[in-house]
Amino acid sequence: MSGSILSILLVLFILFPSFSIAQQDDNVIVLGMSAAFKGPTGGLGIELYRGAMAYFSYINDNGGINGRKIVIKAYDDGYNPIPTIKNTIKLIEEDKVFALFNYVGTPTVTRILPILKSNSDKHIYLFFPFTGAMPHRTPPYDEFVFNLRASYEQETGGLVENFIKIGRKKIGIFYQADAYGRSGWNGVRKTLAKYGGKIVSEATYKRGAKYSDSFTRQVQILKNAGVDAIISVGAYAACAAFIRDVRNTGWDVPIANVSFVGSEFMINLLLEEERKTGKSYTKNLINAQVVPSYEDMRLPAVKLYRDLMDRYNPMPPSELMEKDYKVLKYSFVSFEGFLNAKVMVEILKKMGNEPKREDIKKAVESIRNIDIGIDEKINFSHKKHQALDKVYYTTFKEGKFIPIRDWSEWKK
Amino acid sequence: MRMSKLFQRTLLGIILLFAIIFFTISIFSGWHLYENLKEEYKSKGTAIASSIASSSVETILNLDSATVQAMIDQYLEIEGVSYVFVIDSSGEIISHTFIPSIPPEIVELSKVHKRGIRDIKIEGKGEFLDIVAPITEGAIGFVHVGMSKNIINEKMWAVIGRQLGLLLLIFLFSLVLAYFMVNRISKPLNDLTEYAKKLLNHDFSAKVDIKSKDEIGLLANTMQSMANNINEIFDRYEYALKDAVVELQDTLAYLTTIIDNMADGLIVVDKEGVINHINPAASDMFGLAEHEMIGKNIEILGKKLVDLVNKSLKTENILSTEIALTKNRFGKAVAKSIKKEYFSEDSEAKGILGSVILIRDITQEKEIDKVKTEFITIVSHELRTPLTSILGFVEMIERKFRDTLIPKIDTSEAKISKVLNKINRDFDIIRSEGDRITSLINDILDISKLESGAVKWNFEEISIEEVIFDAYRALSALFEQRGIPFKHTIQSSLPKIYADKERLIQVMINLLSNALKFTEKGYIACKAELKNNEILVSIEDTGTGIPASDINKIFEKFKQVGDIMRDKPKGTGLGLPISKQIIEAHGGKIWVESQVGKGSVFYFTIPLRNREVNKNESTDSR
Ligand SMILES: Nc1ncnc2c1ncn2[C@@H]1O[C@H](COP(=O)(O)OP(=O)(O)OP(=O)(O)O)[C@@H](O)[C@H]1O
Ligand SMILES: [Mg+2]
Repeated sequence: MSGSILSILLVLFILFPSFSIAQQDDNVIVLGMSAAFKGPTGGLGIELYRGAMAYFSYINDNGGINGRKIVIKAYDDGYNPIPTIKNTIKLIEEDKVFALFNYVGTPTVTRILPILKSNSDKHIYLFFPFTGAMPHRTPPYDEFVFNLRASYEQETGGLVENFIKIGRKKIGIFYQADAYGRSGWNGVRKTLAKYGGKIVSEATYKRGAKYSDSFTRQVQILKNAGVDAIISVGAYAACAAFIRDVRNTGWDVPIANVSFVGSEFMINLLLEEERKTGKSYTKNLINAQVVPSYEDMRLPAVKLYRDLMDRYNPMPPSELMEKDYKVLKYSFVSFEGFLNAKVMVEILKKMGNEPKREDIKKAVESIRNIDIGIDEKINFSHKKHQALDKVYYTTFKEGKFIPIRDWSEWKK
Repeated sequence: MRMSKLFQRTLLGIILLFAIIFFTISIFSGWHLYENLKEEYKSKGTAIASSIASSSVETILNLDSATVQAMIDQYLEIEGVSYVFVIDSSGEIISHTFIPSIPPEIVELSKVHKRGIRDIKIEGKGEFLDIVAPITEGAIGFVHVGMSKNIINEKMWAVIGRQLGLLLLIFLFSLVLAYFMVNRISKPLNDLTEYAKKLLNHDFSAKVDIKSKDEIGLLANTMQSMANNINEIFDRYEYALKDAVVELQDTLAYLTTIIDNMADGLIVVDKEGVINHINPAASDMFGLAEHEMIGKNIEILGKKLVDLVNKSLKTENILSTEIALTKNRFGKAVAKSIKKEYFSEDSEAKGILGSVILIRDITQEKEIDKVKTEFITIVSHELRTPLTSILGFVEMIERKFRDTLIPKIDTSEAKISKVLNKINRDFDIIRSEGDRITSLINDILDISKLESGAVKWNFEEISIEEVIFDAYRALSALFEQRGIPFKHTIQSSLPKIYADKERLIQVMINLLSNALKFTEKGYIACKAELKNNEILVSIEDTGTGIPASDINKIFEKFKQVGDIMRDKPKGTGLGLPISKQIIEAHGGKIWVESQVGKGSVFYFTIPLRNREVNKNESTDSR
């Protein structure tokens, strides 16, 4: 009797290797992901997932990692810390994932850091969260997190430097009132301090704000302070709405956003607004990116990315998506997800036939000068848990985000 | 169900009391909650602030405001925490949770507030408790935690609201309960009130159905037995009343019978002159049926009765008049006003309810009187005319006898002289008897004229003094002859009177001559004075006096006191009746006071203001 059930189970295992009990399967490497799939920042989680899954599918189709397939176990947290904490505990204790991967957002990630620390005996590491915040780049939590992207401080610092160069020294900041916004704010503040300056004016908004919300109060605060450049550290719905409200007052001040905004999401909202009202909302916008442009076809990674995105067009499980969501064919976000996956695969490859969590840290920290098809090499070390430092500045022109070669366009 | 006023008021009072208690309790518990929450928020805020302060030392030193932000963000999720911000040693706010910007109040506060708890009001946001915890004694910075007072207030109001709601619910429930309970008490009370009202309306047969053993039941029983007692008493009185009524009816019937069988006519009028009551005699006298008279004004019975009634209604005196009745009959109507006893003296006229008129048929008396008067007149004329010629002839014979015969007769002859003397004496007798008869006839004519109203009066302003002295003068010879002194006391400056002088002298002469006639010795005194708006004249003598039995007779015609057969008549007995007629024609009175053997005093009065006096006036006063 019991023998027959066992044999049926065995057959099932062979036929459906990625079945629900996959994490216990030696042939599968499960990465746990908690991100915003729904709500005002939902596009970030979806596109990040899609980019990563494009590459993992490619790897899995080509034999996986030493015969093991890579699977992402994903949960929606709606960009809220408490669901993120719950998801993380679930991923660690129930799903027993190999590692945490592709988390989205600063307020969410900063809150799971103590979990990582308390689970240090289980060697749970977070890979490549979609955030440039400092808490997981600095002690005491930096040892549990590996970053691919540059920090917000780097992004905003670069923006400040460029603005100062073109004579826009009165810098204002619009930011999300949380750890994410504070990271960007701190970058601006520190960089300005280097030049003996200060933030002229600042305005905050509450996380979770929708595009339909009004930001005129924030616009007034900054406008009244007479700033000549705005650095915006927020999520795409809020940032697009803020830009809309700035332009609606007839103010053409340059507004620079950081990578987290998800440039395409932001621009799509503004283009939609342009179509509706006939006004122009997409001028004088600068978007900092932490990955190269997916338009730069010189890069092998771009070519592969486009190829795999076209080929697999992966989708997250339907329950994680809002029905009316329109996928982006290519985006900086999915490209980042793609690169995250590529580095993850490199790491897993290094771990041999029997990848064990206790070996992860050693494996990652030993990575030196890996070429992932972009013009930067990947380096990790015991001290360096962030692989890339480069920030790319783009602006929206003729329907595309193109690299800024000359800032003098916005010279004061 | 109708609730009694008393209970309504009591219930209202209870409601008010409850409301006050509710309100006080709610306010108190609200306040208590507020204080408790405030304390709780203070300790909560202090705990949060110090926890942030103790764990952020390193991160601040690392200039990692994002990590600080991540930490303070967590605390923002705690209920009641409105804001958190951290200041570094330079006084700069390195992390905060304000949207859309740091309020200026906070910037100000952060400069001065370094320890403890402070209240702060942020415009547009509300009130907060700002709790500060220094990081490493302030060397590194300060943590501020803002606890929302708004939430405390909201919670307080929510609790007060809930409490009031609950209390209200309980209250409404108790109100309904109270309503029914009160009604249970109130109903018998209402029944009792209704019962009392019925008793008030003399419905003693009403019953009240309250069986309870409490005070109300007792009261109901008491009232019921009281009602029964009253009912019994009422019954007894009713019987007594019935008896009394029967008796009264008998009496009334008796009186009615008397009135109806009276020979005199009886008419009762009210004060408006409307006939209230008549008897069959009256009905017969006027030839009108009872229904033709009752309810009608007295004017249907002629002007004389109207005048009589009008006068009677104004006085208490008995008034009379003669009226013509049907079938050529005459009646004497006597009217007396009916006065209500209890009206006060000074409103006499107002107390008069009407007048009672009695009418007696005097047709026969009238007839006899008339015949007598006519007889006297005729007789007087028939007597006077021949008497005058007889007396004339006698005078002529005497004169011829004296002037022509006597000088030719020899008077020396004794026999002739004797005859002459006898003839002279006889002439004297004839003359004096003739004068007496003339005077008698004149008097009879006079009285009959006065009685028939054929007298012409000559009223004028005169003085009573003149009257007295003129009369005395006419009689002075007689006074001297009799040797009786005349005394007079006339009040000085008496007012003039409106009177017929000659007639008054006639009265005066008669009274004085009467006095002389019946006085042998002593004196005769005359007095005149003003009394009660009348001139009062008295003639006093010291003569024989008049017996009391005769006092009333002497004013009647031909009445003389004493035995006429034996005593020589000294007059005709018409003097006083004539005097009476004259005085009464002046509106005055005449009477006598006398004591046999001592003398008499005759009095008469003449009113000062009585110009309209007429003997033929329909009414006269008695
Ligand atoms: N002063 C008097 N004293 C006593 N008796 C008197 C007195 N005056 C009148 N009388 C009585 O009253 C009677 C009536 O008086 P009255 O004057 O009417 O008649 P008379 O004097 O007898 O006659 P007449 O006056 O007609 O000549 C008298 O006869 C007398 O009896
Ligand atoms: Mg006489």
